Amino acid sequence: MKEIRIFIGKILVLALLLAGTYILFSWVLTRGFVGDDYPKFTHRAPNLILGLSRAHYGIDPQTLAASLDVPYQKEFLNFAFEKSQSPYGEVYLNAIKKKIPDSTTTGIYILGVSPGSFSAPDRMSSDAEVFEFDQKMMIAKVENLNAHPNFEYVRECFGRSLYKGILPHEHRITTVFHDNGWEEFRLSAGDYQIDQDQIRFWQQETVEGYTKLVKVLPESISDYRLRWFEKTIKTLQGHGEVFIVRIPMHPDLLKLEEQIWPEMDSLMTGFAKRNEVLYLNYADAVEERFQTYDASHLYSESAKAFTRQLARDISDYLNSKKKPILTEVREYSGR
Amino acid sequence: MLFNSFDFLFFFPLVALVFYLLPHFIRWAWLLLASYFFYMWLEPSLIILLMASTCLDYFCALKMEQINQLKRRKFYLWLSIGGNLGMLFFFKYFIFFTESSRAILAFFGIDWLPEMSNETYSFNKILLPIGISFYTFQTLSYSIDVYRREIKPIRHFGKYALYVAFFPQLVAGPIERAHRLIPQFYKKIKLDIRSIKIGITMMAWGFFLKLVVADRLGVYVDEVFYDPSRHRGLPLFIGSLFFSFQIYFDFSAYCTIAVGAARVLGYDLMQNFNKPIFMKSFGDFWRRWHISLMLWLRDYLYIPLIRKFGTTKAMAAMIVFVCNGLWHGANWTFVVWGAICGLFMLLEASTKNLRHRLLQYFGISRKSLGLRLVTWAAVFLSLSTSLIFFRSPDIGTAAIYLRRMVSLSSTYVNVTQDYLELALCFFLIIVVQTIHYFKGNDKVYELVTFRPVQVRWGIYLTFILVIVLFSVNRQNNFIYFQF
Repeated sequence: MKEIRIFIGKILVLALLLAGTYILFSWVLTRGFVGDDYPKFTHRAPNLILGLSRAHYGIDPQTLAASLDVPYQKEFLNFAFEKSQSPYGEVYLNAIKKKIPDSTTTGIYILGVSPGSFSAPDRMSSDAEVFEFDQKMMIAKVENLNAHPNFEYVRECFGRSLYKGILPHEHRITTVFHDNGWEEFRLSAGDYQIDQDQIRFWQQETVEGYTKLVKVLPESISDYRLRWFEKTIKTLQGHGEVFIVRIPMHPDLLKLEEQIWPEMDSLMTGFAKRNEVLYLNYADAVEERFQTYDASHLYSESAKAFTRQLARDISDYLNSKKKPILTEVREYSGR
Repeated sequence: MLFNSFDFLFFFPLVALVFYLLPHFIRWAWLLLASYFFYMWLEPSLIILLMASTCLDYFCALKMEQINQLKRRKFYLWLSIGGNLGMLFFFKYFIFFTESSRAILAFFGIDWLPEMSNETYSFNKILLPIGISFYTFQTLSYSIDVYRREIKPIRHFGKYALYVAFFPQLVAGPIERAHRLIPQFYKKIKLDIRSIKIGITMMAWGFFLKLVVADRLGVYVDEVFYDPSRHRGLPLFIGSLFFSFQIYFDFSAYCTIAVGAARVLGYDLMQNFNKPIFMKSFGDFWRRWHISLMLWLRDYLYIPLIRKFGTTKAMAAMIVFVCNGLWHGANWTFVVWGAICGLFMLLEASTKNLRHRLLQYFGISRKSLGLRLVTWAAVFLSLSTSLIFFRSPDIGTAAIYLRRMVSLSSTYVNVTQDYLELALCFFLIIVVQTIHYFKGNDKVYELVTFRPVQVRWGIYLTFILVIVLFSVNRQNNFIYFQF
């Protein structure tokens, strides 16, 4: 009996050591860079930027807060994700609800839209299948979206080894991850410079890649996602003002998107009218200051310039809303 | 439930603790309950199939025992085979065969079934029950052995159900034979601390193989196999080598954890691997790799094909390897992989004399180190190349992979953009193979258990540090779960 007690004691000591070491090194990891999306999982925010990678790269929360000329709370979080991790749906809406403090009634919510936000693989015919598909996304795997340090994120989404917390991470030197969730893509970092030839090559590669992807990965616009997009708008209206925003992109990519989903603009306009929100369409704003580095995503200066433009348009709308303006759909005016 | 999940960390100690607290006569019930719970954790409804298979074989085996008339015994044998293979066919192969038939007929201009669409057919959403290939083969071996009067059927339904569902080996083997496992359920298990320590050490080694080694290799493998057209030359070659090691470490990790877990509970499961990487020939490889399945195919397919159906050895071997491929998955890639392995075996057997004569002619000793190394490299590279079909989603992708792999020029090797990880992959392969060379898969615990207490604790602490720091946080399924 004594032998058994000693054995169980040893097992418990080892189990505690294992758990303690795991927690310690997880904590060490969270003190530094965890991953591109980690800051999106650490705190609540009254104002959110939503959508997919275009919003993730293209809207800078800090610039937005600084440029908004309205008496609103100014803490923004970019809660848009890369790699199809946040298409509109029940899962994304549930995550969004967790990010907003319950008491918020004067928030600003920017809903970035692109065909990717509303797509689902063709093989999925029912809502349940799309929902199940979405359950594999990061925002579904992590229950607690507002903890710092967020051990749950480390366990479910980190995807690498904890020794990375001790050794410096290797990641793209042109990319800066901000605590407000914005991923900034810089064209120069120290001695490293990205020239126009490289940008042209990436742009061409993206357009060709998208064209190929459309053929091999058959996807189509999902009614489920459209329904949940509307539910998202309605839910967020309970917390403040909602803006549907189509972010600038390369003309070739825009052409491709219009082939894939020609009704997109009219549908978005319909959503805006029905729900009395503003739809800001900058899709064909192809001027110099809104350039992308890869045809789809704005780089640092472009993102800041675009965010300032967006802030001006939102401010104008909100200030004019003091007068009884109900619904409006604005095309980018090129100011 | 996955062995490499946090759930299992709580599940297993609880099962083991209660198991030893319960009196002997009721332990089978506790293990059966735990096994069903383990199986139902991911998809509860699938338990119905497991139970159906259990009931069918229990009933058929008893009938075969009671009846002496050969014809009627055969009827119950075929009822068992038909029932089990029917379920396996329906849940695993139905879509594959339907789609393949449609494509073949369409090639000849016959529109038997229109292109499947979600609205038209619902059977393309058939859920693949986890571990169905494993438990089907296990229960079939029981029925066939009873029919052959090699074993007596078990009358205790609960213990038979436990034989089918025993959780350490339920979802990915080893495929145990009834005469090995069932008698153990009757034996009174005494609490043996030494045996438990060995079991825990084996489980820890299995977790290391899975979390630190196999999953790490998987990061590189996933990257190159995701879109092989983005790479050329060396990265694809490394990818295929890494996949060979990944699948070995992943599957042997599962089996080591299974054997270790059973050992903690006082049961002895068979070893599924015997240093397969140190094979001397194709034939030798298949005697060391997935031993329980290869023995099954030998006893219940290869030998009957030759003895009962008069098939030639070459044809029987080819059938066995194609079935081995198909057993792994309902996809032409597995069929091609199996056929390639069969061809390697036939080629090896048919050129044996010629090779010996050539060696004699050139005066090369069959035991020379150089020859052994060349043979090993040829066999290993051939098997690695064949595994490209195993890993690829379709034949077209595998062909692209092969074509781009043999290119003389190469793209960037560091595809995951992490040199340290790439170096770690090579380092870990060497470390694990060195340990396996000296201790095999089944005796790794000897590195720990027979050491002085200070050394043991040093190893425990180092192990904890390594597992925590170097595990890849991916919570990947074991590769063999899908079969």
